[in-house]
Amino acid sequence: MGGLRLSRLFFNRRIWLTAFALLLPLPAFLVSMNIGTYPVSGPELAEIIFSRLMGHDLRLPQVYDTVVFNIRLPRILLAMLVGAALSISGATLQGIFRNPLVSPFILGLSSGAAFGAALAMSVFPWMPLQMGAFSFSLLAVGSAYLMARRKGEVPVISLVLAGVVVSSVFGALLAIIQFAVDARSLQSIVYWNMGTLSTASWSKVDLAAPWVLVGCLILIALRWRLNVLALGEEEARSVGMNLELYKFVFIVTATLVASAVVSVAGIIGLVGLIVPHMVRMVFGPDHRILIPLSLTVGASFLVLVDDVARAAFSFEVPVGIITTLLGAPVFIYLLRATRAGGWE
Amino acid sequence: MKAAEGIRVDEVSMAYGSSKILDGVSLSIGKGSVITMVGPNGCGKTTLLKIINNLLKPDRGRVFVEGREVNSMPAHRLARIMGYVPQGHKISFPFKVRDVVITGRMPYIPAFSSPKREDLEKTEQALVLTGISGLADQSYTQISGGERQLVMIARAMAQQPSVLLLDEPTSYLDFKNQILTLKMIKEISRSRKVTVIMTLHDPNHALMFSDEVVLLRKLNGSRAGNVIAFGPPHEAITPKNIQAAYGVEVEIAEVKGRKLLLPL
Amino acid sequence: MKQILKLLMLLGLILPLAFNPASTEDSNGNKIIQITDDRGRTIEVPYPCERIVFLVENAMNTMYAVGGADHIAGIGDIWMPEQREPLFRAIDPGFDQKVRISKEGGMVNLETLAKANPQLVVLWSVDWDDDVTKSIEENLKVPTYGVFIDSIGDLHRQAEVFGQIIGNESRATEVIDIMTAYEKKVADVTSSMTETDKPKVYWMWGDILGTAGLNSTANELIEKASGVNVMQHWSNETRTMEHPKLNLESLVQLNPDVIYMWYNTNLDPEDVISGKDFEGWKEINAVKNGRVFEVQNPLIFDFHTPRYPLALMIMAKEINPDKFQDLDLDEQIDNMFVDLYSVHYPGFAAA
Repeated sequence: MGGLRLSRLFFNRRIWLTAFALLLPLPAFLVSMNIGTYPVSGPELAEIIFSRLMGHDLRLPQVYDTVVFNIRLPRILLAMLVGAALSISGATLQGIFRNPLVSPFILGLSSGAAFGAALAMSVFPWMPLQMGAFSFSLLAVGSAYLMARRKGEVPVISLVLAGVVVSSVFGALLAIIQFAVDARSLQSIVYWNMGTLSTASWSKVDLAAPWVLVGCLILIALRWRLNVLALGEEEARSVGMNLELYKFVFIVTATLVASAVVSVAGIIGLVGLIVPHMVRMVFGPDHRILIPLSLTVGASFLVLVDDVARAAFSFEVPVGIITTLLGAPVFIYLLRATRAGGWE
Repeated sequence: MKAAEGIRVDEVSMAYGSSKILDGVSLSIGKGSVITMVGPNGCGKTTLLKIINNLLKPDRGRVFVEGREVNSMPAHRLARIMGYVPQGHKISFPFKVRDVVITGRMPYIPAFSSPKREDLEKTEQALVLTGISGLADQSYTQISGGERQLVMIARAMAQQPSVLLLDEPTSYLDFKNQILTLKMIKEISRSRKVTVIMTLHDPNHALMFSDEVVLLRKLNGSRAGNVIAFGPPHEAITPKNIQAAYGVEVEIAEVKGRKLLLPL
Repeated sequence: MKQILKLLMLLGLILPLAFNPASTEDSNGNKIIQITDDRGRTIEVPYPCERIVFLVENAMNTMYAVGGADHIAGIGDIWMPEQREPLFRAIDPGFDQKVRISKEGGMVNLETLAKANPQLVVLWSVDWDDDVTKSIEENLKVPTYGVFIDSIGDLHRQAEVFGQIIGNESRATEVIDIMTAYEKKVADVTSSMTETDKPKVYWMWGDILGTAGLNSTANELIEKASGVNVMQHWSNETRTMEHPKLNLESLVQLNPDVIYMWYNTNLDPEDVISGKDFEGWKEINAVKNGRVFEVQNPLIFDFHTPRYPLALMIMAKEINPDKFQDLDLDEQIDNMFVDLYSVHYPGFAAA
């Protein structure tokens, strides 16, 4: 039975590959801790971390501790949170919409967030920017959902169309703000829309982490249900799924997770689209594997991309640019290697 | 009443917008038999099938299965009793055949859980039952239309239903696969004591493979009543009834003791 | 690019001098004058130019200073109008009668612009074939004067050109002398300072990690205020850009003694010193010593207008407090407003 042995081998390789993808955040984290424009050597880094852990005094200048624990660490954690959240959210929504072109922003989340942020920046300076972005991204997705809802049902086609409409409306509202404000405020709105991790801080990590953590746990716990949903709505209902309830839960959770990170890091595109897609190309569409691996690969992907953005040139490159420039070739390679990723 | 444990359709009416599809349809179906529903396009046979499975809500009337009304049952309860095979199914994800079939275990798996060993076993059994064990690790998007039909039947059987509903199971199949699929459906009904209700295009298939036939006609405006005949195949499918349903003249020929419908 | 622009500008300055007198006559016998804008392009305008539209507000401040109030026919958007318009009203009784031209998505409303019937449109522009320039020149057949300030010398030249086109060269010379005189009050103190006395200054634009590069007006301001732009110590080649961006680790390494923030409605020096989003900044000298300053009043601190010496004084006093103990800022501000516009500050009462 040569076939059996071959498939065994394949099976083994797959296990190793899966384990690698699952544990990838660990080496990605360690590598990232060693990267930065402030010169901190490996042994110095070890000593800084050790002295923190053991609580004894650092023999290096205090600035080393600040660079590692207040600059590098929060930025790395934020990058991982953002990457994980956008990827898991994208994977979930791609499953619900049964469409490879779906990103976390399909239901107007990014347009709502951009509008909310602009509003907070220019019209209501008393409103914290994160609050503006978070609440308006939820408002945008919520109104898309309600617009699509008829007689207790929310057909996917109506959702997509409602998402397009909501995106355009918030896009138009944002344009109004952009016309009304002066050039300097306009500049900060544009920067925010590009998305950045360069202003990472512990408070931003604290703000986003609980949402991302709880959301990811819910999505991981419910992930097999996405397989049922991904076969089609009638198919899901005929095996006894409470379709509208699960669609609601998935959309709400995916939205909360993505909104939380968008509100602290701005709109970082492409990650939520290509990471789940890449994972699916390599590991197949089974959400039992796809969901946890989107989380770990997304976290690793963005933190490594951000390493390039923050350290390769010593000046900041918007992380979205690097995401695209590095992500696109990898994506195209996988697309060719797996014959269009098995999409029909 | 023989349908106490079977299926009872009670005065079901349904309209899409202003056009009435079903009007006061009542049926009583016993356990373990193969029922086919035939009739021209637009006669409401697919609609009726979806109403039986509670995928559609009728405007009026009720459907009972095993003595309980279907729309009062929790979805997962109903799914343990009834399996449904949609027509010409397509999916966009290259799921493995096994991963598709195992979704039939949905009604047995608690919310925050994934399939367990028992569900895997039932899945393997369903694959064996439908003769597609060899396809288990193949991608659903890369198998033929006939094989996909079998996968969806296996998925429905993984639900361990006592009623199997199929919507035009032969519509996308070639001649050989039509026969093989219908034979298998009948075989499953016999061996598993499963009531089968399916819609079919070809009255000849109904003659050959069913225990009872429901012949339906299109409601053209005012004429009341969809059901022309409900009974054993040779009683339901007569030249007169076919004329009433389809508006074509036919005769019944007998070849080696089997009846065959021939257009005139 | 900059070099070429400067060269072109120089050529633009020399050529008209070589071949043309300052003003000539066109075929109808109307007097015209040739001037060169900041883009290095020479244009012909009627002399004296009586109806000028200012789509760029900071250049309008120069026009008012050289006594051209009656020559201003229309005004574009004004940043922070609640601060600036009172000044303009105080020095120009006709201010509210002037045509106001709004912007629509980066493009001016041409019909309102036409209502002002301009002979010249002054706008902020780096490039002589940008969309706004083209549409004004092609549709309205009106010449445009592109303003593009990247050094203090550009402001002196602006006063000179504006004086020429309205036929008031003597006031232009006065204005230049005023600017030079106030600038000298700072230079007199700083000239004795050695390099080691000078604090390292980080200029913070609204995007926080965006700063003033070595080719920028803010850089010139820092140097004249006797500070060292921290970008001098940065090895990255983008430091010569107008608006380079760096990252926080690099900034910590550069370790500026002073952080100078541009006017920012969302952020105050206290946020930088002790805000929870700025924990990574706490080892920077400027933060440790509480030497974070913010531009408080962009009307006074406006280094693209003839008032730039005031910005210079404010900054000089903040970054070198012990050197400028004797400089009374309130008095200087009031004096300069009187010298430039004949009104007092604050209050804009006639002097």
